[in-house]
Amino acid sequence: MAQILVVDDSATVRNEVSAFLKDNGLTVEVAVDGKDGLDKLQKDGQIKLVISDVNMPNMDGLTMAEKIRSDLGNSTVNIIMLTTESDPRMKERGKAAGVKGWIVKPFKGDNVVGSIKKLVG
Amino acid sequence: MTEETKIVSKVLVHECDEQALELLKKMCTQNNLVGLKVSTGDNTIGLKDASNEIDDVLKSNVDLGAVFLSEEPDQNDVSGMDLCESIRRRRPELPIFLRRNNTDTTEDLSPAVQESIAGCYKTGDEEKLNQLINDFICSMYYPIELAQGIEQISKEAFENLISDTHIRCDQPYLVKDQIIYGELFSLIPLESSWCRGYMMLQTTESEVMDLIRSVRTHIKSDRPDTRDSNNILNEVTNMIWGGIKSRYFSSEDSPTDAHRTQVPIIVNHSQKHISFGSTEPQLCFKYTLHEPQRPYPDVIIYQRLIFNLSWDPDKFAESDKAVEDLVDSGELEFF
Repeated sequence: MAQILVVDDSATVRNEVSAFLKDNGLTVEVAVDGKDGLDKLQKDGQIKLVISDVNMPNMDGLTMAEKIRSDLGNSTVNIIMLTTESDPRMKERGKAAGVKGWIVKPFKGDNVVGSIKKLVG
Repeated sequence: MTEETKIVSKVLVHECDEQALELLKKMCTQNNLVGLKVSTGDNTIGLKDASNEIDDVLKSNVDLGAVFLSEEPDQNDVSGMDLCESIRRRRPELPIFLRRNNTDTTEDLSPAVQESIAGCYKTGDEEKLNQLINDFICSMYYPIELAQGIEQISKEAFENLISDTHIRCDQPYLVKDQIIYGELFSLIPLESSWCRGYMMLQTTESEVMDLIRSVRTHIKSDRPDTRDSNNILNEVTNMIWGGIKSRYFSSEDSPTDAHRTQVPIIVNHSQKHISFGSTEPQLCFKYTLHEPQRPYPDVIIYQRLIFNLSWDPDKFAESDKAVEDLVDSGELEFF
């Protein structure tokens, strides 16, 4: 049971982000790509926020966001993309998929922890 | 980087004539070449030893741009004709230039020597020497602003992923070499309307493992393995790639389908050699990651940009202006 699902193919980023969130009193689950993220989200009904990379093998983060809304029918979980991408077309695709926000890497936890806490209630 | 930043290229020089050497030095200065001179005057050195010395330089300097030889024998009776074939065998991508006393043609040379050298210049012929340098070493123009930007983006990526580290970058330089440094390298495509090619990062695995052991990365492990070192290189590559895309590639300037040609990339593990099918010089950066407080070995990372599929630097200036509305990294932008 976790509040936040961190999805990234990079172990470095998964470790960095989840350690920061845990230090701030949040519970975290991790997934290694979009497919894994969908699977973990389906199994854990307590997840309130997904923080996901965009470019990942097997399934990218935007496709995962689209499938969260369409295949899983989950319209309530908040989704934030944490990525090196800043292409406006990708952001538009994210918006259309119900992505709530966009962070361009690197992850600077202190800048966003307040917003993250609000999103997980 | 400072205003004095320039893109250089290292060249190997075997030259015994003082006047010819002076001309080479002048041309090196004019063209931002760094000359590495091998011994020509020690009487105890014969052909075998001179070749070995060149071999040593070839082994230790993986990032050369060209080789300058002379048909005139040195004090050990070793001439460029004696050396060029073995250099060519070892490093076929390096252009070899031969100084000749009475001509700048190759017709009277043996077929094997002719095949080994890229061009000849007559002693004192500054114009021909300059032409060879321009044709073979400086044949690809890289805007200094691009080099400065890539260095800045890369340093930021290293700083974000690796703590307590001083990062030094040598002057960016052009290389013709296609030698693989270390055991670990990453490769990621760079694609826009003004360039198509790859960025490659090369490093040594053991130093990256030490980096992890020293608890300067987000991988926490006393006994890191290959997956851990791969992860570090993966994320550094990803961050730099993203930074380059954000700064220099406009969202509107993706290459069209018509431009999506590809060529095979060939890797020869026994020779530690990678070929992208192009002989144009690559833009190379050498980063040294130094831990000032503790005695861990420096981590050397070579970064190469290989625009083997398309390169239009004139459009680069336009692209720089076209990229606007950049989001500050690390900030959450709500939709």
